Amino acid sequence: MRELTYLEAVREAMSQEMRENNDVFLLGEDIGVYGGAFGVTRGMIEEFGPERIRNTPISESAITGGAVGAALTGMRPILELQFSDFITIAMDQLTNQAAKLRYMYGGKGSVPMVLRTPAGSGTGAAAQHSQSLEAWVAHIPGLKVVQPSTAYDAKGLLKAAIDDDNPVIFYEHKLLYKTKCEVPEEPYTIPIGKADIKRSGGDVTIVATAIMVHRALEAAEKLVKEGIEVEVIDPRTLVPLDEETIVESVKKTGRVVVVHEAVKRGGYGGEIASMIAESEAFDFLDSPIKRLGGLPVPIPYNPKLEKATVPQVDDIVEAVKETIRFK
Amino acid sequence: MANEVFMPKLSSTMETGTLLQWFKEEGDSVETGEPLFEIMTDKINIEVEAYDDGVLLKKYYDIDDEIPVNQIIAYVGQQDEVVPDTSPGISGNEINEEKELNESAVEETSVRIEEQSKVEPSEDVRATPAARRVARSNNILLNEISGSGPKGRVHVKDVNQVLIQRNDSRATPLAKKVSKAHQVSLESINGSGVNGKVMKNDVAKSIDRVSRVDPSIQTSQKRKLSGMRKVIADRMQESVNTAPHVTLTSEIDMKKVQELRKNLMKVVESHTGNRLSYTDIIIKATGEALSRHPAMNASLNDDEIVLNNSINVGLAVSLDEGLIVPVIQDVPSKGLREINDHAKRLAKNARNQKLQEDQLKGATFTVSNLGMYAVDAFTPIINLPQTAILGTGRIQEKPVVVDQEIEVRPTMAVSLSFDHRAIDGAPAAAFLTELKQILENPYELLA
Amino acid sequence: MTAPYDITVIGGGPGGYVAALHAAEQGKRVALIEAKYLGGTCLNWGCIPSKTYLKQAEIIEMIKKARDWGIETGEIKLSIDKMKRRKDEVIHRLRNGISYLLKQGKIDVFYGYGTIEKNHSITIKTKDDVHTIESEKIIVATGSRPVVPSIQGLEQVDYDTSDTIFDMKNIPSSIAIIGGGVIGVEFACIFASLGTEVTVVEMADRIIPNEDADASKTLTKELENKGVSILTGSTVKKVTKVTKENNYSILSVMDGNGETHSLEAQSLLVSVGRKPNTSAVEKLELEKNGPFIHVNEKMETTNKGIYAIGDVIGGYQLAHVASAEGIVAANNAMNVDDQFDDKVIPRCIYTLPEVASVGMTEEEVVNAGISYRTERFELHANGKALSAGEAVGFSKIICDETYGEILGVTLVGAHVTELISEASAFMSLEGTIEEAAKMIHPHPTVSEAFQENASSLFQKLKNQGVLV
Ligand SMILES: Cc1cc2nc3c(=O)[nH]c(=O)nc-3n(C[C@H](O)[C@H](O)[C@H](O)COP(=O)(O)OP(=O)(O)OC[C@H]3O[C@@H](n4cnc5c(N)ncnc54)[C@H](O)[C@@H]3O)c2cc1C
Repeated sequence: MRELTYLEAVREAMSQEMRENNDVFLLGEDIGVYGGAFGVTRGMIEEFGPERIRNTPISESAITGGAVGAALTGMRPILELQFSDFITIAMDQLTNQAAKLRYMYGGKGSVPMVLRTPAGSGTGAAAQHSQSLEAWVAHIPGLKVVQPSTAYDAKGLLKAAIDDDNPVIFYEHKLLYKTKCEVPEEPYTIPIGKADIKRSGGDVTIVATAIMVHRALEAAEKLVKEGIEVEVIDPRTLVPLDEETIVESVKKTGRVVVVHEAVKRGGYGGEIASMIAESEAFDFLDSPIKRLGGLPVPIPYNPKLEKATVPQVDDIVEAVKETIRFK
Repeated sequence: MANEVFMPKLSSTMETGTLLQWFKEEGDSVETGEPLFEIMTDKINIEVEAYDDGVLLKKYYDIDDEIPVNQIIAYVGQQDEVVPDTSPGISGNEINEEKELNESAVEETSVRIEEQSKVEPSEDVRATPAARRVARSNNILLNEISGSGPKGRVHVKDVNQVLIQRNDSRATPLAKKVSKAHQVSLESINGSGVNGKVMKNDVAKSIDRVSRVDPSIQTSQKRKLSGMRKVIADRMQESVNTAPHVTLTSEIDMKKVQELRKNLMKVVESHTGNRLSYTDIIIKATGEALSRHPAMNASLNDDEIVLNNSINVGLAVSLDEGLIVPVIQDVPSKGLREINDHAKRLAKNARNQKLQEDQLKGATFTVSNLGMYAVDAFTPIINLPQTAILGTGRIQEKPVVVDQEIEVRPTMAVSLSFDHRAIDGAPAAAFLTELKQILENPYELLA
Repeated sequence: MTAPYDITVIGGGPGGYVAALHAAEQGKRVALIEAKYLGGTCLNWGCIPSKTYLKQAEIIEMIKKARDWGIETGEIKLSIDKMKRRKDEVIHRLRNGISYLLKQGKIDVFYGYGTIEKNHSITIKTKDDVHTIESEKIIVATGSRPVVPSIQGLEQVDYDTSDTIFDMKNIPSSIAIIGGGVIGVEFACIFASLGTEVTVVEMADRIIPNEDADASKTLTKELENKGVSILTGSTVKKVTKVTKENNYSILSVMDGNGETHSLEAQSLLVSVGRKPNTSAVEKLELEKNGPFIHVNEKMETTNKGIYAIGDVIGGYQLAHVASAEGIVAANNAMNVDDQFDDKVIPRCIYTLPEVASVGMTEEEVVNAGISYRTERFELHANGKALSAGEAVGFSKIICDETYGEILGVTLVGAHVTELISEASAFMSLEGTIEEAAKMIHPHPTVSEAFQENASSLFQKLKNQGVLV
C-alpha cells in the first residue's frame, strides 16, 4: 500500500470529504494560497476555490463563532487554528456555544463542526506555541476530543469527526506531521471512542497519547530486550474514552504507566488513572499507577531544556521498570 | 530521667536469658555502647551494651539468675535519680508506680517494642490491590505474608509463593493421583475447591494448559521437579528469597598462578596421579584468604552470625541430576597436593554417587568454577547457611597495562556473592582484594 | 403499588422457598408468591405424602413378615381415613415450619398467581384482587404438574394423577398404573401393601429406565413378589368405561409384539411424567428447552435478571436439586457469582427395597467411552441386613480404571436412601476407591456393604496393577 505522511492524510481526508459533500468547507487564518501555518491545506484552494477554503481575519473567537453559526444552519465547517495555544481565545465560543447548543435546543439544533489544530512541543516554538491544552476541552461536556498519533488514524478519525453531529476538537501533533505510514486511498472511518492496541504485551500497560505513542513504542522496543513485554494502548480519542480496552489491558498486566506530553498536573492522565482505579481493574493492580507528563513550567525556547520538560523514551523506560520492580 | 535496661530478645525462640556477669557496679558511670552485662541464651553468650549514657542506678538481678525477655534488669540515669527498689517487671508495662518519673522512658521503650513486634492486623498490611484480590479469593490472611515490595508491601508474587507452599497439602486424593500420573506439580495449580483445595478438574485444566503452552515450542521431555532437582530448586529459591545477595567482581592476573601450576604439575602428579588444576589453587588461595578474614567464614542461623573455626570449602560439582557440593575440610592445614588429592577423589565419588554423608556436610564457604566453559563471569547463589560464595570464570588472554606497558596476560574474572544480612560491603571487598593479591602472588601460599 | 423488592420468587416449592430464605438471610428484601400451598409439589403432593404412605406400607409388610418370625398380631385392619389424617398432619407441620421461617426472614408472602409482565413488573392475581409489585430480580420456581397423555377414552373415565390420588376415598381393589418411573413404582408399592391388585404398564423395556439396569431387575423381581404385575414394552392404547357399580375401566394394552390385551381395573393412575408450569412467564419471550425454560449455569434465563429453577427448567426434577438451584439463582441475583455443579446429585426411590444412586449409571459410563471397572456386593452377605430380614439388594460401585475415581454408585436395599450420602461424600471430596476401601465402617451395619464392595474392587484393581 502507498505511504502517506500524517499531514497528507489530514489533507486527503478533508479533500475526499469535500468532493462528496458540498456542506463541508474550511475556514481559518491563511489557509488559502499560503496553505496554512504548517501547509496542511496547501493546494486545496486551487481545487475547491475561495468559497469553500475561506481565509479569515486573525480572530480565533470569530472563526469559531462563525463555524458554530454555520454548523447550526446545517453546514459542516472544519476550522483550523494555527496553534492550539490560541484555543484560549476561542474558548467562550467553544464552551458556551458549540458545546451547549444542542442540549439547550433540546436536540432541535446541532453543531456538526470540527476544530483542527496542531499542538505539542519539539519545534522550538517556545512557550506560547508549544502547549498541549487538550485537558481544557476534555473537561467540557458536549465536546468530543480526538488525538490521532499516526497518518492512518488521522485520516480515519478525521472523517469520523466530520461525519459526527457534535463539535469535535481534533488535535494534530506538529512533530507527527512528517511521520509516514500506509494509508488506504479510499475514504474510511475509525469510530470515535475506540482505542487502539499499538503493541501487545503482558507485563505492563502503557497508555500513551499523540507523540507519546511513538516514544512508548520505542521504549517497549528497548524493554523487550530486557524481557519486559509492554502493551501500548493509544486511546486515540480522549472524549469519549475507550475505558474497556484500557481496563481489560490493566486487568491482564496489573501495572500501568500513563504518558502524555501535557503538563502532568491536572492533565488528562489523571483522568485515565482515576478511571482505572475506580474500575474493575483496581483489584488487579500490583503496583501503583504511574503517570508521566510535562513539567509544570512554560515550554522553554532552549532546545535542550525544551526536551527536558516533556517525557522522553528513557523516562518511559524508567517508569516501566519502576512499576515492574516487584514482579 | 532513668532509662530501663531490659533483657533483650535475641532470637525468635528466646524466652529467657541467664545473667552471666555484670561489667558495671551500681554507681558506675556508663556510656552508650559500653558492655553492661553478659547473658547466655539457648544459643549463644552475648555481651549486652548500654543504650544510654549515665550512671548505673540499680541492678535487680544477680549472676546465674534466669530472667524473662523484656524484664527490667537495671536502670541507667542521672546520679541521685529515684528508681524502684525491685524490678518493676516487664518493660513497657503499665503497672509502673513511678509513672511520672519514667514517663518518657516508658514511651521510648514501648516504641522499641512496637518495632520488634512485626505482626500487624490484616487491615494495616501494605499490599497491592491485586495481592489483596488473590489473597481474598484464596482465603489467605495478608499478615501471614512477608511482602517483597518497598516497606514490606505485599505483591501478587508474594501471595502466590504462599499459595504454592500450601497447595501441596490441599489436594483431593483423586487430584493427587491425577497430578502424579501426569507429572504435574500441584504447587502451581489454583485450587477451585473449598479453601483453594485442588480438585481433579483443576489438575486437568493445568495439564491442558501445559500442553497448550505454545505449540511452536516442541517439548520433547517433561521432568517432574523431584528428588535432587527438587532439593536444589527449593534451596536456591530459599536462598534468593531470604538472603539479600550482593555480588562483587574483580579481575585477577593469573600469570603467576599459571607459572606455579606448571612448576608444581610434575610434583603433584607424581604423588597423587592427578594433574594439578586451577581449581585446586583457587581453593587453597580461598582458604588462605578466609583465614585472614574470618568474618567471611561465617554462617547465619536464625538471628545469629556464627563465626566458624574451621575453614571448610565446598566445591560445586555438576552431575547429570544436578549440582552437588562436596567439602574439603580444613583447607588452610592442607597443602596443594593434599587438596588436589581430596578434590579429585570427592569429584569422582560424586560422579559415581559414592559420596558419604559427611563428605557433603560442614562447608563454611563455597567455590564454584565454570572456567572450563566459555563463561567470563557469573553471579553465584549462596549456599545457606553459608554467607558467601565465590564464582570463577575462564582464564583469558587479555591486554593488561603493567608498568605503563600493555602486556598480554591471562586474566580471570571472579565474583563474590555475599549475604548482606551477615556481611557488609567493605569487609567483603577487603576479602576479595586479599584473594586477588594471593592469586597474583601465589608463591606466598607456599610460605 | 407496593415497595420494590430486591428479589421476588414465584412459586413456594422446595426451589422457591429455599431461594427466598437464602436471599433474605443476606439481608435482601424478598417477596414470595404462591398460588396454592407453601411447600409446592414436594410437600403437598409429592415427596412427603408419598413417603408417609410408604412408611405405612413398610409397616404392613413388616407385620406380615413378623408372623413368620413368630410374632403374631391379629388381623390387620386398615383405615384409609386415619392414614390420610396422619399424612395431612405431617404436611401441616412442615408447611407451618416453612411459613414460620419465611416470617422470620421478613419475607412478604403473597397468595395468588404471579405473572411477569413485559416490563418485568409482576401481577398477582387472587380470587378477588389483582395487584402489581416491582422487583429488581425475579426467580421463577413454578414447578411442574403431571402430564396427561392423549389416550383414547381417558377423558371419559375417572383417572387419578399424583395430584389427586393421595386423597382417595377408598382403597381400590385393583389399580392400573400407567408409567413405571419413580412415581409409578412408589405407588405400586403403596397399593400392593394395601392389598390392591396392581398392574404397572411401562412403555420402556424396563421400569425405572433412568436407573442402573441391575436396580430395575431387582426391583422388578421384588415388586412381582409382592403380587404386582409389570407389563414392560407396553402402551395403553385405549381406555373404556365399564358401567358397573364400582366404576371399572378396561384398558387396551399393546405389548411389545404388537398384540393387544385388555386389562380391567377399578382405579387408574397416570404417572407418565411431568410438564412445567410456565404461565408465570407466558408474556415473556424466553428461550425454551423443549417445554422447559432454558437457563445458563447461573440459572439465568435469556431475559437478564430473570432466573428459573427447579422442575420448571427440567433436568432431574428432584426437590433437593430445585433447592440447590435456588441457592445458585439467589446468589447470582445478589451479584454473588455462583454456578450450579451437577457432578454429585443423589437420586432416591423409596420403594421396598429402596433404590439410591449417585453419579453415572453403567450405561452412561459405557456410552461415554470411559474404561471402567464395576462390581456388586450382595446384601445377603451383610450381617445387619440378614438379621433385619432385609437381605435383598446390593451395592454397586463403578470406578475408572486409571485412578480409581468413583464414577457412580447404585445401592438397592432397605434404608439405602440414608446410605447414599456416603458415596456422595466420597465423590464430592474426590476420594478414590482406595480411600473408600480403607475407611473403617461400624459393624454390623448395612454401610459395610459399601466398604466391602469398594475393598474387593480395589483389591482386584491393585492386583491387576492397573491403578496408578
Ligand atoms: C408423587 C411425587 C413424589 C416425589 N418424590 C420425590 C422425592 O422423594 N424426592 C425428590 O427429590 N423429589 C420428589 N418428587 C419431585 C419433587 O416434588 C419436585 O422435584 C419438586 O417439588 C420441585 O420443586 P419446585 O420448587 O421446582 O416446584 P414445585 O414443588 O412444583 O413448586 C412450585 C410451586 O409453584 C406454585 N406455582 C406455580 N405457578 C405459579 C404461579 N404462576 N404463581 C404462583 N405460584 C405458582 C405451585 O403452586 C407450587 O406450589 C416427587 C414428585 C411427585 C409428584
